[in-house]
Amino acid sequence: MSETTLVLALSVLGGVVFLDRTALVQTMISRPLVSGTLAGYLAGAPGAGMVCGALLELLWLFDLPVGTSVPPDESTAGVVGGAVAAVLAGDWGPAAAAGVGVAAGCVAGILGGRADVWVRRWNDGLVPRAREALAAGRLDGVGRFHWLGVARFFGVGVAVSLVGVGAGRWGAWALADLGPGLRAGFELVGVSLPVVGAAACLGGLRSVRARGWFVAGFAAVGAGPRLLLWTREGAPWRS
Amino acid sequence: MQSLGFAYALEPALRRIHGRGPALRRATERHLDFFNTHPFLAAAILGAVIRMEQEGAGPEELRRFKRALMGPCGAMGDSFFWGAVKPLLVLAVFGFALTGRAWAPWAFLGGFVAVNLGARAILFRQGLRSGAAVAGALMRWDLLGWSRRLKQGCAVLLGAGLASALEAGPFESWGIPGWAALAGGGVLALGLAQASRQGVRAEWMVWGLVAASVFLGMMP
Repeated sequence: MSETTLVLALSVLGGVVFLDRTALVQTMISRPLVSGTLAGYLAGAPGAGMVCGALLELLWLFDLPVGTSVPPDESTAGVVGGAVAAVLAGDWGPAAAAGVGVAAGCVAGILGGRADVWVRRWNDGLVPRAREALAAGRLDGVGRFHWLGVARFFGVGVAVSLVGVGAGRWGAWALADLGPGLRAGFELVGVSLPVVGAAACLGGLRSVRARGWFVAGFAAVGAGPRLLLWTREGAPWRS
Repeated sequence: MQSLGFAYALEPALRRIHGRGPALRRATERHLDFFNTHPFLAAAILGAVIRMEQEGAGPEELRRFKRALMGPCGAMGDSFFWGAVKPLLVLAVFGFALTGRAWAPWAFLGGFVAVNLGARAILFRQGLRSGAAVAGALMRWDLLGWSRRLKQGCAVLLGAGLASALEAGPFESWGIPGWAALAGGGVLALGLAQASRQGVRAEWMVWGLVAASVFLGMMP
Protein backbone atom coordinates (compact mmCIF):
# COMPACT_ATOMS: atom_id res chain seq x y z
CA MET A 1 0.00 0.00 0.00
CA SER A 2 1.12 3.60 -0.50
CA GLU A 3 2.82 5.44 2.34
CA THR A 4 -0.21 7.76 2.76
CA THR A 5 -2.62 4.84 3.04
CA LEU A 6 -0.26 3.13 5.45
CA VAL A 7 -0.01 6.21 7.69
CA LEU A 8 -3.81 6.55 7.71
CA ALA A 9 -4.25 2.86 8.53
CA LEU A 10 -1.71 3.14 11.36
CA SER A 11 -3.54 6.22 12.66
CA VAL A 12 -6.83 4.32 12.78
CA LEU A 13 -5.02 1.54 14.65
CA GLY A 14 -3.72 4.25 16.98
CA GLY A 15 -7.28 5.45 17.58
CA VAL A 16 -8.48 1.93 18.38
CA VAL A 17 -5.69 1.19 20.85
CA PHE A 18 -6.07 4.67 22.45
CA LEU A 19 -9.72 3.70 23.11
CA ASP A 20 -8.81 0.28 24.46
CA ARG A 21 -6.27 1.76 26.87
CA THR A 22 -8.87 3.20 29.28
CA ALA A 23 -12.10 4.30 27.59
CA LEU A 24 -13.49 1.02 26.23
CA VAL A 25 -13.22 -2.69 27.04
CA GLN A 26 -9.49 -2.78 27.95
CA THR A 27 -8.69 -6.04 26.22
CA MET A 28 -4.99 -5.00 26.30
CA ILE A 29 -4.54 -4.76 22.53
CA SER A 30 -3.38 -1.33 23.64
CA ARG A 31 -0.26 -2.80 25.27
CA PRO A 32 2.86 -1.98 23.21
CA LEU A 33 3.67 -5.68 22.81
CA VAL A 34 0.43 -6.11 20.85
CA SER A 35 0.00 -2.62 19.33
CA GLY A 36 3.65 -2.58 18.22
CA THR A 37 3.29 -6.00 16.59
CA LEU A 38 0.08 -4.91 14.82
CA ALA A 39 1.75 -1.69 13.62
CA GLY A 40 4.76 -3.65 12.42
CA TYR A 41 2.45 -6.09 10.64
CA LEU A 42 0.67 -3.25 8.81
CA ALA A 43 4.04 -1.71 7.90
CA GLY A 44 5.45 -5.01 6.59
CA ALA A 45 7.78 -5.91 9.50
CA PRO A 46 5.84 -7.62 12.33
CA GLY A 47 9.00 -8.94 13.96
CA ALA A 48 10.50 -5.46 14.27
CA GLY A 49 7.24 -4.15 15.69
CA MET A 50 7.10 -6.99 18.21
CA VAL A 51 10.67 -6.45 19.44
CA CYS A 52 10.13 -2.68 19.71
CA GLY A 53 6.84 -3.26 21.53
CA ALA A 54 8.43 -5.73 23.95
CA LEU A 55 11.12 -3.18 24.84
CA LEU A 56 8.57 -0.39 25.27
CA GLU A 57 6.53 -2.65 27.59
CA LEU A 58 9.19 -2.57 30.27
CA LEU A 59 9.56 1.20 30.44
CA TRP A 60 6.19 1.98 32.06
CA LEU A 61 4.99 -1.48 33.10
CA PHE A 62 4.55 -0.54 36.76
CA ASP A 63 3.54 3.09 36.18
CA LEU A 64 0.04 3.62 37.54
CA PRO A 65 -1.89 6.90 37.50
CA VAL A 66 -1.65 8.21 41.05
CA GLY A 67 -3.07 11.59 41.99
CA THR A 68 -2.10 14.18 39.36
CA SER A 69 0.68 12.06 37.79
CA VAL A 70 -0.29 10.80 34.34
CA PRO A 71 1.73 7.91 32.91
CA PRO A 72 2.85 8.16 29.27
CA ASP A 73 0.50 6.68 26.70
CA GLU A 74 2.05 3.31 26.01
CA SER A 75 -0.55 2.40 23.37
CA THR A 76 0.38 5.25 21.00
CA ALA A 77 4.05 4.64 21.84
CA GLY A 78 3.65 1.03 20.64
CA VAL A 79 1.99 2.03 17.34
CA VAL A 80 4.51 4.80 16.57
CA GLY A 81 7.48 2.70 17.73
CA GLY A 82 6.43 -0.32 15.66
CA ALA A 83 5.75 1.84 12.60
CA VAL A 84 9.15 3.56 12.90
CA ALA A 85 11.09 0.33 13.57
CA ALA A 86 9.55 -1.20 10.44
CA VAL A 87 11.14 1.54 8.29
CA LEU A 88 14.68 0.56 9.34
CA ALA A 89 14.37 -3.16 10.10
CA GLY A 90 15.48 -4.31 6.64
CA ASP A 91 18.64 -2.17 6.32
CA TRP A 92 19.66 -1.53 9.93
CA GLY A 93 18.79 -4.87 11.54
CA PRO A 94 16.40 -5.56 14.42
CA ALA A 95 18.42 -4.09 17.31
CA ALA A 96 19.13 -0.71 15.69
CA ALA A 97 15.57 -0.48 14.32
CA ALA A 98 14.19 -1.21 17.79
CA GLY A 99 16.47 1.46 19.26
CA VAL A 100 15.06 4.11 16.93
CA GLY A 101 11.51 2.81 17.42
CA VAL A 102 11.70 2.98 21.20
CA ALA A 103 13.17 6.50 21.12
CA ALA A 104 10.33 7.65 18.84
CA GLY A 105 7.81 5.74 20.94
CA CYS A 106 8.94 7.57 24.08
CA VAL A 107 8.18 10.94 22.45
CA ALA A 108 4.81 9.69 21.21
CA GLY A 109 4.02 8.28 24.65
CA ILE A 110 4.54 11.67 26.32
CA LEU A 111 2.35 13.43 23.73
CA GLY A 112 -0.31 10.75 23.98
CA GLY A 113 -0.36 11.06 27.78
CA ARG A 114 -1.01 14.82 27.52
CA ALA A 115 -3.73 14.19 24.93
CA ASP A 116 -5.35 11.66 27.27
CA VAL A 117 -5.59 14.26 30.05
CA TRP A 118 -6.99 16.84 27.62
CA VAL A 119 -9.74 14.57 26.25
CA ARG A 120 -10.78 13.50 29.79
CA ARG A 121 -11.23 17.16 30.70
CA TRP A 122 -13.17 17.71 27.48
CA ASN A 123 -15.45 14.77 28.37
CA ASP A 124 -16.10 16.11 31.89
CA GLY A 125 -18.76 18.35 30.35
CA LEU A 126 -20.79 15.38 29.12
CA VAL A 127 -22.29 14.38 32.49
CA PRO A 128 -24.15 17.74 32.99
CA ARG A 129 -25.41 17.49 29.40
CA ALA A 130 -26.66 13.94 30.07
CA ARG A 131 -28.51 15.23 33.17
CA GLU A 132 -30.12 18.03 31.13
CA ALA A 133 -31.21 15.52 28.51
CA LEU A 134 -32.79 13.30 31.19
CA ALA A 135 -34.51 16.30 32.80
CA ALA A 136 -35.95 17.19 29.37
CA GLY A 137 -37.38 13.66 29.13
CA ARG A 138 -34.85 12.27 26.64
CA LEU A 139 -34.17 8.85 28.13
CA ASP A 140 -31.55 8.03 25.48
CA GLY A 141 -29.40 10.94 26.68
CA VAL A 142 -27.02 8.81 28.75
CA GLY A 143 -26.31 6.48 25.84
CA ARG A 144 -25.82 9.30 23.34
CA PHE A 145 -23.34 11.21 25.51
CA HIS A 146 -21.52 8.03 26.54
CA TRP A 147 -20.85 7.22 22.88
CA LEU A 148 -19.94 10.85 22.16
CA GLY A 149 -17.26 10.58 24.83
CA VAL A 150 -16.01 7.35 23.26
CA ALA A 151 -15.95 8.98 19.81
CA ARG A 152 -13.88 11.89 21.18
CA PHE A 153 -11.33 9.46 22.60
CA PHE A 154 -11.12 7.72 19.24
CA GLY A 155 -10.71 10.99 17.32
CA VAL A 156 -7.96 12.27 19.59
CA GLY A 157 -6.18 8.90 19.41
CA VAL A 158 -6.27 8.99 15.61
CA ALA A 159 -4.96 12.58 15.56
CA VAL A 160 -2.05 11.87 17.94
CA SER A 161 -1.09 8.72 16.04
CA LEU A 162 -1.30 10.56 12.70
CA VAL A 163 1.22 13.13 13.93
CA GLY A 164 3.44 10.54 15.64
CA VAL A 165 3.50 8.01 12.82
CA GLY A 166 3.88 10.66 10.11
CA ALA A 167 6.72 12.52 11.82
CA GLY A 168 8.34 9.32 13.11
CA ARG A 169 8.47 7.54 9.76
CA TRP A 170 9.69 10.69 8.01
CA GLY A 171 12.44 11.02 10.67
CA ALA A 172 13.39 7.35 10.27
CA TRP A 173 13.76 7.74 6.48
CA ALA A 174 16.00 10.76 7.12
CA LEU A 175 18.12 8.85 9.69
CA ALA A 176 18.62 5.95 7.27
CA ASP A 177 20.65 8.23 4.99
CA LEU A 178 22.96 9.54 7.68
CA GLY A 179 25.59 6.82 7.70
CA PRO A 180 26.83 3.71 9.53
CA GLY A 181 27.99 5.53 12.67
CA LEU A 182 24.42 6.39 13.56
CA ARG A 183 23.35 2.82 12.87
CA ALA A 184 26.06 1.50 15.22
CA GLY A 185 24.93 3.92 17.91
CA PHE A 186 21.31 2.83 17.67
CA GLU A 187 22.33 -0.82 17.63
CA LEU A 188 23.98 -0.18 20.99
CA VAL A 189 20.73 1.48 22.14
CA GLY A 190 18.66 -1.51 21.04
CA VAL A 191 20.94 -4.02 22.76
CA SER A 192 21.07 -1.96 25.98
CA LEU A 193 17.34 -1.22 26.24
CA PRO A 194 16.49 -4.43 28.15
CA VAL A 195 18.78 -3.18 30.95
CA VAL A 196 17.03 0.22 31.06
CA GLY A 197 13.63 -1.45 30.93
CA ALA A 198 14.51 -3.86 33.73
CA ALA A 199 15.76 -0.93 35.81
CA ALA A 200 12.51 0.96 35.25
CA CYS A 201 10.51 -2.12 36.30
CA LEU A 202 12.63 -2.70 39.40
CA GLY A 203 12.20 0.97 40.30
CA GLY A 204 8.45 0.56 39.99
CA LEU A 205 8.39 -2.58 42.15
CA ARG A 206 9.79 -0.52 45.00
CA SER A 207 10.75 -3.18 47.50
CA VAL A 208 14.01 -4.65 48.76
CA ARG A 209 12.55 -8.14 48.40
CA ALA A 210 11.89 -7.49 44.72
CA ARG A 211 15.62 -6.94 44.19
CA GLY A 212 16.35 -10.29 45.81
CA TRP A 213 13.82 -12.10 43.63
CA PHE A 214 15.18 -10.29 40.56
CA VAL A 215 18.72 -11.48 41.32
CA ALA A 216 17.41 -15.01 41.86
CA GLY A 217 15.70 -15.07 38.46
CA PHE A 218 18.69 -13.44 36.78
CA ALA A 219 21.13 -15.90 38.32
CA ALA A 220 18.96 -18.92 37.51
CA VAL A 221 18.90 -18.11 33.79
CA GLY A 222 22.23 -16.31 33.48
CA ALA A 223 24.55 -18.13 35.81
CA GLY A 224 22.86 -21.51 36.20
CA PRO A 225 23.56 -23.00 32.75
CA ARG A 226 26.98 -21.34 32.68
CA LEU A 227 28.02 -22.84 36.05
CA LEU A 228 26.83 -26.23 34.87
CA LEU A 229 28.96 -25.91 31.74
CA TRP A 230 32.02 -24.76 33.72
CA THR A 231 31.60 -27.66 36.14
CA ARG A 232 31.72 -30.08 33.23
CA GLU A 233 34.31 -28.38 31.02
CA GLY A 234 36.23 -26.16 33.40
CA ALA A 235 35.99 -22.40 33.77
CA PRO A 236 37.25 -20.45 30.71
CA TRP A 237 40.03 -18.70 32.69
CA ARG A 238 41.59 -22.07 33.54
CA SER A 239 42.14 -23.16 29.90
CA MET B 1 -15.10 3.23 35.02
CA GLN B 2 -16.78 6.60 35.55
CA SER B 3 -20.32 7.80 36.13
CA LEU B 4 -21.54 8.11 32.53
CA GLY B 5 -20.28 4.63 31.64
CA PHE B 6 -21.65 3.20 34.89
CA ALA B 7 -25.12 4.68 34.25
CA TYR B 8 -25.05 3.44 30.65
CA ALA B 9 -24.12 -0.09 31.80
CA LEU B 10 -26.96 -0.02 34.34
CA GLU B 11 -29.62 1.18 31.91
CA PRO B 12 -30.95 -2.20 30.70
CA ALA B 13 -31.33 -3.43 34.30
CA LEU B 14 -32.95 -0.18 35.45
CA ARG B 15 -35.41 -0.34 32.53
CA ARG B 16 -36.41 -3.84 33.62
CA ILE B 17 -36.77 -2.83 37.30
CA HIS B 18 -38.45 0.59 36.90
CA GLY B 19 -40.07 0.38 33.44
CA ARG B 20 -40.00 3.56 31.33
CA GLY B 21 -41.01 7.07 32.38
CA PRO B 22 -40.27 9.18 35.51
CA ALA B 23 -39.12 6.25 37.71
CA LEU B 24 -36.50 5.25 35.13
CA ARG B 25 -35.41 8.86 34.68
CA ARG B 26 -34.95 9.32 38.46
CA ALA B 27 -33.11 6.00 38.79
CA THR B 28 -30.73 6.84 35.91
CA GLU B 29 -30.13 10.38 37.20
CA ARG B 30 -29.00 9.20 40.63
CA HIS B 31 -26.25 7.14 38.97
CA LEU B 32 -24.77 10.20 37.23
CA ASP B 33 -23.22 11.34 40.52
CA PHE B 34 -19.41 11.34 40.62
CA PHE B 35 -18.10 7.76 40.34
CA ASN B 36 -14.63 6.52 39.47
CA THR B 37 -13.25 3.04 40.13
CA HIS B 38 -11.37 0.16 38.57
CA PRO B 39 -13.26 -1.15 35.48
CA PHE B 40 -13.08 -4.82 36.51
CA LEU B 41 -14.10 -4.30 40.13
CA ALA B 42 -16.84 -1.94 38.93
CA ALA B 43 -18.60 -5.15 37.84
CA ALA B 44 -19.01 -6.11 41.51
CA ILE B 45 -20.49 -2.71 42.32
CA LEU B 46 -22.74 -2.90 39.23
CA GLY B 47 -24.11 -6.27 40.32
CA ALA B 48 -24.61 -5.09 43.89
CA VAL B 49 -26.37 -1.88 42.77
CA ILE B 50 -28.74 -3.87 40.54
CA ARG B 51 -29.60 -6.11 43.52
CA MET B 52 -30.12 -3.07 45.75
CA GLU B 53 -32.31 -1.34 43.12
CA GLN B 54 -34.41 -4.53 42.89
CA GLU B 55 -34.79 -4.53 46.69
CA GLY B 56 -35.93 -0.89 46.60
CA ALA B 57 -32.90 0.75 48.25
CA GLY B 58 -33.25 4.52 48.58
CA PRO B 59 -31.12 7.06 46.68
CA GLU B 60 -29.09 8.04 49.75
CA GLU B 61 -28.29 4.41 50.61
CA LEU B 62 -27.16 3.76 47.02
CA ARG B 63 -25.05 6.93 46.99
CA ARG B 64 -23.32 6.02 50.27
CA PHE B 65 -22.70 2.46 49.11
CA LYS B 66 -21.07 3.54 45.84
CA ARG B 67 -18.99 6.24 47.54
CA ALA B 68 -17.81 3.80 50.21
CA LEU B 69 -16.71 1.16 47.70
CA MET B 70 -15.31 3.07 44.74
CA GLY B 71 -12.06 4.11 46.46
CA PRO B 72 -11.11 0.70 47.92
CA CYS B 73 -12.16 -1.10 44.71
CA GLY B 74 -10.02 1.32 42.71
CA ALA B 75 -7.02 0.67 44.94
CA MET B 76 -7.48 -3.13 44.95
CA GLY B 77 -8.06 -3.28 41.21
CA ASP B 78 -5.10 -1.05 40.34
CA SER B 79 -2.79 -3.02 42.61
CA PHE B 80 -3.94 -6.50 41.56
CA PHE B 81 -4.87 -6.27 37.88
CA TRP B 82 -2.66 -3.39 36.66
CA GLY B 83 0.15 -3.73 39.19
CA ALA B 84 0.52 -7.52 39.31
CA VAL B 85 -1.49 -9.64 36.83
CA LYS B 86 -0.79 -7.54 33.73
CA PRO B 87 3.01 -7.24 34.40
CA LEU B 88 3.21 -10.95 35.25
CA LEU B 89 1.68 -11.92 31.90
CA VAL B 90 3.88 -9.43 30.01
CA LEU B 91 7.06 -10.64 31.71
CA ALA B 92 6.13 -14.29 31.14
CA VAL B 93 6.36 -13.74 27.36
CA PHE B 94 8.92 -10.91 27.25
CA GLY B 95 12.00 -13.07 26.62
CA PHE B 96 10.18 -15.00 23.90
CA ALA B 97 9.03 -11.82 22.16
CA LEU B 98 12.54 -10.41 22.21
CA THR B 99 13.90 -13.54 20.53
CA GLY B 100 11.31 -13.41 17.76
CA ARG B 101 8.64 -15.95 18.82
CA ALA B 102 5.62 -14.73 16.87
CA TRP B 103 3.12 -16.32 19.30
CA ALA B 104 4.31 -14.23 22.27
CA PRO B 105 1.96 -11.18 21.90
CA TRP B 106 -1.06 -13.43 21.27
CA ALA B 107 -0.26 -15.65 24.25
CA PHE B 108 -0.20 -12.51 26.42
CA LEU B 109 -3.44 -11.20 24.88
CA GLY B 110 -5.23 -14.54 25.24
CA GLY B 111 -4.15 -14.83 28.86
CA PHE B 112 -5.27 -11.33 29.74
CA VAL B 113 -8.62 -11.57 27.91
CA ALA B 114 -9.33 -14.76 29.88
CA VAL B 115 -8.54 -12.91 33.13
CA ASN B 116 -10.52 -9.84 32.01
CA LEU B 117 -13.73 -11.62 31.06
CA GLY B 118 -13.49 -14.18 33.85
CA ALA B 119 -12.94 -11.54 36.53
CA ARG B 120 -15.80 -9.34 35.31
CA ALA B 121 -18.22 -12.29 35.12
CA ILE B 122 -17.29 -13.60 38.58
CA LEU B 123 -17.35 -10.17 40.19
CA PHE B 124 -20.67 -9.18 38.60
CA ARG B 125 -22.24 -12.45 39.77
CA GLN B 126 -20.82 -11.94 43.28
CA GLY B 127 -22.29 -8.44 43.39
CA LEU B 128 -25.73 -9.66 42.24
CA ARG B 129 -25.66 -12.43 44.82
CA SER B 130 -24.35 -10.39 47.79
CA GLY B 131 -25.89 -6.96 47.21
CA ALA B 132 -24.61 -4.47 49.79
CA ALA B 133 -22.57 -7.26 51.48
CA VAL B 134 -20.28 -7.58 48.43
CA ALA B 135 -17.58 -5.59 50.26
CA GLY B 136 -17.08 -8.48 52.70
CA ALA B 137 -16.71 -10.95 49.83
CA LEU B 138 -14.11 -8.74 48.14
CA MET B 139 -12.09 -8.43 51.37
CA ARG B 140 -12.06 -12.23 51.78
CA TRP B 141 -10.45 -12.57 48.35
CA ASP B 142 -7.39 -10.70 49.70
CA LEU B 143 -6.52 -9.11 46.34
CA LEU B 144 -3.86 -6.91 47.93
CA GLY B 145 -2.13 -9.93 49.46
CA TRP B 146 -2.19 -11.75 46.13
CA SER B 147 -0.88 -8.63 44.45
CA ARG B 148 2.22 -8.70 46.71
CA ARG B 149 2.83 -12.38 45.98
CA LEU B 150 2.42 -11.98 42.24
CA LYS B 151 4.83 -9.04 42.23
CA GLN B 152 7.52 -11.32 43.64
CA GLY B 153 6.87 -13.58 40.65
CA CYS B 154 7.20 -10.52 38.42
CA ALA B 155 10.64 -9.77 39.88
CA VAL B 156 11.82 -13.36 39.20
CA LEU B 157 10.53 -13.26 35.62
CA LEU B 158 12.12 -9.82 35.13
CA GLY B 159 15.52 -11.14 36.18
CA ALA B 160 15.14 -14.23 33.99
CA GLY B 161 13.97 -12.11 31.04
CA LEU B 162 16.89 -9.70 31.32
CA ALA B 163 19.39 -12.58 31.54
CA SER B 164 17.94 -14.25 28.44
CA ALA B 165 17.95 -10.91 26.56
CA LEU B 166 21.63 -10.35 27.42
CA GLU B 167 22.50 -13.95 26.51
CA ALA B 168 20.94 -13.39 23.08
CA GLY B 169 22.87 -10.13 22.50
CA PRO B 170 25.76 -9.71 20.02
CA PHE B 171 28.35 -9.06 22.76
CA GLU B 172 30.65 -11.96 21.84
CA SER B 173 30.91 -10.59 18.28
CA TRP B 174 31.92 -7.23 19.79
CA GLY B 175 34.74 -8.92 21.74
CA ILE B 176 32.90 -8.84 25.09
CA PRO B 177 32.69 -12.26 26.83
CA GLY B 178 29.11 -13.35 27.47
CA TRP B 179 29.61 -13.68 31.22
CA ALA B 180 30.97 -10.10 31.37
CA ALA B 181 27.94 -8.74 29.49
CA LEU B 182 25.65 -10.61 31.89
CA ALA B 183 27.43 -9.39 34.99
CA GLY B 184 27.68 -5.81 33.72
CA GLY B 185 24.07 -5.75 32.59
CA GLY B 186 22.80 -7.08 35.91
CA VAL B 187 24.80 -4.61 37.98
CA LEU B 188 23.80 -1.71 35.72
CA ALA B 189 20.12 -2.64 35.99
CA LEU B 190 20.31 -2.66 39.79
CA GLY B 191 22.12 0.69 39.78
CA LEU B 192 19.69 2.35 37.37
CA ALA B 193 16.79 0.94 39.40
CA GLN B 194 18.05 2.97 42.34
CA ALA B 195 17.99 6.09 40.12
CA SER B 196 14.46 5.20 39.04
CA ARG B 197 13.38 4.98 42.66
CA GLN B 198 14.81 8.47 43.18
CA GLY B 199 12.51 9.79 40.44
CA VAL B 200 14.55 9.46 37.23
CA ARG B 201 11.94 8.70 34.54
CA ALA B 202 12.39 5.78 32.11
CA GLU B 203 12.07 8.15 29.10
CA TRP B 204 15.01 10.22 30.36
CA MET B 205 17.12 7.07 30.71
CA VAL B 206 16.23 6.11 27.13
CA TRP B 207 17.14 9.53 25.74
CA GLY B 208 20.35 9.59 27.80
CA LEU B 209 21.19 6.15 26.38
CA VAL B 210 20.42 7.39 22.84
CA ALA B 211 22.65 10.46 23.26
CA ALA B 212 25.57 8.44 24.69
CA SER B 213 25.25 5.59 22.17
CA VAL B 214 24.97 7.85 19.13
CA PHE B 215 28.02 9.81 20.35
CA LEU B 216 29.98 6.56 20.78
CA GLY B 217 28.76 5.23 17.45
CA MET B 218 29.80 8.38 15.59
CA MET B 219 33.30 8.35 17.08
CA PRO B 220 35.95 7.30 14.55
